[in-house]
Amino acid sequence: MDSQTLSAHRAAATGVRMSVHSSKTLKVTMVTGQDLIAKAGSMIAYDGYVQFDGAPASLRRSAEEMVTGEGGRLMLARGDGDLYLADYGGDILVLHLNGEALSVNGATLLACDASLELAIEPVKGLAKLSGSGLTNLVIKGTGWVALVSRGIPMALDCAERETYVDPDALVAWTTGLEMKARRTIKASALIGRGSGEAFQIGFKGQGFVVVQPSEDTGDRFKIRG
Amino acid sequence: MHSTLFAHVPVESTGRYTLQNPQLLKTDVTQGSSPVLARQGAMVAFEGQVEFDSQYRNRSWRNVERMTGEGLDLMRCKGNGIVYLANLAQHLHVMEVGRGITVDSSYILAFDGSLGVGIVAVDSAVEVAAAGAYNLELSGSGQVVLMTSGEPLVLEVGPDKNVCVDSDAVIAWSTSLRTQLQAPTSTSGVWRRRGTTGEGWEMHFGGTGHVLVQPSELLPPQGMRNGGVLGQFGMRGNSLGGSNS
Repeated sequence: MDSQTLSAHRAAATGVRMSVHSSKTLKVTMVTGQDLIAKAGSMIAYDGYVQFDGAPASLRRSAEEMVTGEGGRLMLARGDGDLYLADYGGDILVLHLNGEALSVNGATLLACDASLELAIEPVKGLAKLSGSGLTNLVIKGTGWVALVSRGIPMALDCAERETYVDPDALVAWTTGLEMKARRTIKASALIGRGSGEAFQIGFKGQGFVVVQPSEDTGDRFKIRG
Repeated sequence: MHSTLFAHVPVESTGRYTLQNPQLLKTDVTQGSSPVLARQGAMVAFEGQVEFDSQYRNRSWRNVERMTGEGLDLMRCKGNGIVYLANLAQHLHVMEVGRGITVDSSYILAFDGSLGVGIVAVDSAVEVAAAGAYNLELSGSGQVVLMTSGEPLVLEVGPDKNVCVDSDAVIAWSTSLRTQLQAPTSTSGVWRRRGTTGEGWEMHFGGTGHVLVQPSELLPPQGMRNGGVLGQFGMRGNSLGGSNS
């Protein structure tokens, strides 16, 4: 069998905990004692011995997440080996937190170290906006985080000037940014002449905000609700 | 915090339209005298002071749009700043209009307000998926940003070249080209459009110019917004309209 083109897609051996294979697959090196929290159903392959459980009780416990839908669909992976995760062909982003905090849109979290602290917090100062929701997942501590973005993402620096973001395209942002909602509905929208851009979230301060080039908030190929 | 993410900071912009990455357009609305017209709801982020207004269309134009299914809801982006535009992570292409481009309205992301826009009927007006019976014709001097699902193929059409493309996959072509629809099925398969080979209508091009083809025969993804899996395969409702709001 001639597999020259195929062998170019072999997973490279990496020494780090999380790495990205061909921009759409996350490779996690699993070690006993370093558990991983991942989006339920995102496993595509593994080698070695890896076990999957439902979301840890500490996450499942809070009733509020059932209401908000944030963090509700997580699983816990443990064991030894290489674990490959993907989410419907979305682009994978890997971050290493060093005692910092990151606020993510719950649906974009693919995986993170179980040693990180996950908290569901309301977004301050914002009313219910689509995409952003009322609440967000705040990830704190030291460890690796993998996010998924529909299309190649972009990091915008908010230090220079105020940056406005469509809530449907928002992936993550550093905590400590000043946020404010901006409405651009004008009277013309009431007579059917809206611009299609009703709400934006403004960010200002030291930090960055990540956006994706898509406003598709649902799972693209999701069949079940 | 260190991450691969910091390879994705904004690029240096050179002109009015710069591709931040293959799926995201960086638009400097400060440049140029005409406003930037963009598909409604395509903004993902902006910096500076930018206003988004609906593009006014008079009643007769709206009637034409409704009858032809080539409705394209646009917004004017004006002000002083940088707007990032994208649509469902489709691949984007900035191109000069030059001597005219005929394109299906559902594959336009943005264009200069100085361009002339007209709705034209495609020869042998059969309702086919991507290249509908009607298309938009852009003319004048300026730039247009097109979208394709996946990385496209540009075919050159010349006098000695016989170019045929699947009408579900064709996005745009030079206005100067002559088009003709043909069905490759034999008479035995005439009752089934996709007969035995699975190929439906194909479009034949003559003249001199270029044809843009995408590697997908599905309908534009904005049509599946409310259509679920059926919409993904173009089987739900009228997905030909370009609405993305």
